[in-house]
Amino acid sequence: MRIIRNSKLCYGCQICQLACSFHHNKAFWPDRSSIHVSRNPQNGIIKWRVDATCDKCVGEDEPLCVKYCMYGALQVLNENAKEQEVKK
Amino acid sequence: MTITGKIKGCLAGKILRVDLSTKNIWTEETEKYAEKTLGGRGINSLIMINDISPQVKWYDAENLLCFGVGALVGTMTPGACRTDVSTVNVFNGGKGSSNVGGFWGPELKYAGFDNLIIIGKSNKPVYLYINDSHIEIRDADFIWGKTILETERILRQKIGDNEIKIASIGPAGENRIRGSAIIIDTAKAAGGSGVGCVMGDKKLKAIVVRGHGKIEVAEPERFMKVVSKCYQKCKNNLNKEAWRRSPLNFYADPEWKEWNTSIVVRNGQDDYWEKEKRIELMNPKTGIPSMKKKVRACYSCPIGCMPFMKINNGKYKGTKGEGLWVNAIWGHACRFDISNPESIVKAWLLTNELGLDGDYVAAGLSWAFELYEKGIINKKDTEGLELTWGNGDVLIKMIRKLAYREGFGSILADGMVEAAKKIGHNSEYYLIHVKGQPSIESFRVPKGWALAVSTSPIAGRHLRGATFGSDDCGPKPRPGKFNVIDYQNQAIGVVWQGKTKEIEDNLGICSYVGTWFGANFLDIEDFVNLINAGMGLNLTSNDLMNYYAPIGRNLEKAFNALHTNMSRQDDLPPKRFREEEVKSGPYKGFKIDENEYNEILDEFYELWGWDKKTGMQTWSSLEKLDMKNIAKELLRKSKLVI
Repeated sequence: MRIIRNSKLCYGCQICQLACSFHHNKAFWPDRSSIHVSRNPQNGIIKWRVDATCDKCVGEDEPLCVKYCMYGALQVLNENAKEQEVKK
Repeated sequence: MTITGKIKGCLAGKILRVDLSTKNIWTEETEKYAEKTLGGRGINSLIMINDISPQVKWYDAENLLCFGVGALVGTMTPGACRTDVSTVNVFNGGKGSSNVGGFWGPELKYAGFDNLIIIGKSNKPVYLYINDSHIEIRDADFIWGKTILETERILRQKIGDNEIKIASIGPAGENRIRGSAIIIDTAKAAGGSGVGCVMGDKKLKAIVVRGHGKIEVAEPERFMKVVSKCYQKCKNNLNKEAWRRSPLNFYADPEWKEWNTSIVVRNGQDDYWEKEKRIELMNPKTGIPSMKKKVRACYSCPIGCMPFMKINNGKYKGTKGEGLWVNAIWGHACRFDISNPESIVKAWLLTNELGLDGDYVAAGLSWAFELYEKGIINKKDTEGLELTWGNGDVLIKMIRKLAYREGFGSILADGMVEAAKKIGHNSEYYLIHVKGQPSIESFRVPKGWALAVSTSPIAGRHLRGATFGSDDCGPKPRPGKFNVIDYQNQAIGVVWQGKTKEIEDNLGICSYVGTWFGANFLDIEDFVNLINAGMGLNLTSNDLMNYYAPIGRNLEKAFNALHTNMSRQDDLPPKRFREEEVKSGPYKGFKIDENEYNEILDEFYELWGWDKKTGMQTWSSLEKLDMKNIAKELLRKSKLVI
């Protein structure tokens, strides 16, 4: 299972980061999340980083970052696909 | 009424207090305040009424500048990102409050603080640096005089951390312009009540926050189930796409009903704006919508409504920045009769960048334009500027003059009511203000809007209960016959919206995600479920609507009663809307009928449990809310009816 991202669809709300932190900590702790969303407030440019602690939400029905993304910026891709930044 | 047990989650736990005079910094527990009010604005209101003596003016060192982050902020609750900023209202000495979204509030909670209370005054420019428990009052000479964008850029560079969140004032706040805003994260404004003016008076240029901590909830799994349901509701809400394209989207339709019912044209001379002007302003190919480059969301928001703009053509070509709100259309366009879209975007971005409140700019400066039209002021007063309707370039020049107190701008800088006294010639009649604060909207047509804006405890703002379309606002189903242009059954809708707003501000949930204007993403039952699972309480919707919400409203009303001479008379719409009719369009001939308005005002007071004759609070209503101490204080000042 791969988690793919489409930066163009991201609004920078950081819901994914909060959901991820909940999976790891059972608390809302954006500093201890596997996904980090950084938004430049002056130009709105969003940068993402996923670190090595991402376990694809083992034990959950689907990765929480994907489940709670309201903007369609995160999706699950099947096993055979290459991890990539999806271009629109 | 026994309401809460011990609060077991959602709060950061501490209130941070900073004295800019003595440089003392200390903390206290949030809980004792949260038990009474849940959080956010409620805590600010409680602290203000406890700590600020009635003789304290907004410019006194004893005045507090209170930042209150909502109880559910930081918990992943949809739209929970809001911070209330409360202080003594610079326009009338009563309760001032303004609400703002963005990322700053959540960051403060992750740093460990639910509220930040500033007292005292610095004798030189400073900024406050909060990095978890590391808190410093730092010299701000190097950013004093800078615009919002410059201030943020320099601070990020100097501190070397792009993740800091900043609340700052621009030149307007430094110059103590009454209608100054505190701008959060570049473009989100806490604009009303002159909160930026108070911050400038305290010589506090910015508050920088970085937090690395966590927010825990009482029952994590249960809470997440509730959150999941809330997000599902948001996902399925059919309004989502329309709101996501930002509310400017609604105005893109020149036939949209609101064009005829809530805008003020030429500073209140009419409520109807010609269709060709609407089309020019909002043309999808050449108007404001064509300049929208992208849209961004606030923290944990499922809607996302803040546009980034770039001007494509004309003399302001290349100007870009975040933020453009419906108020730009109501205010900067219609009130000045400006249909040139580039001028409006430029004027709005400049308003933000200089740290002014958009509504103050629109309502105040359009008043000056009308005085110019009527010959009450002339070119000699305005240093040669011709304040003529439709003149966007002059509006932009006047915004600068206002922010920097230059020339005629200095006359307007201390508030328009003060300016009217200086200008004379019955000029106050033309000023649309409520309780001293200029108000941008018209309400000769929508009567629920009129009632809410006129009775708002923070003076002339609509978010404390305004209702609009018949199906959009108020309790569902709303009892009785109801139409936006009629008086019947308006009060019940206004009180209901006012109560839900109290709860939303205490929880920190954006009204767009809550109950505002028929968005209907989340409702009161959702709030109850979130509170119970997150805070470990056992509340009902009745507790929220009939205990916590009235506490919030009564705290602000009591503050006004103790600090000012406001009376029933101050809850009437501006005289102009009672005397002058709408001149054209489908609602030609409409104005506020004083008798009919007074009837709904009676009903409104009765629903809140206040005295109809005087508008004062009553012993019985405050007793039910466990507010006997405040009732006694009001009684001592003869501001209570037994």
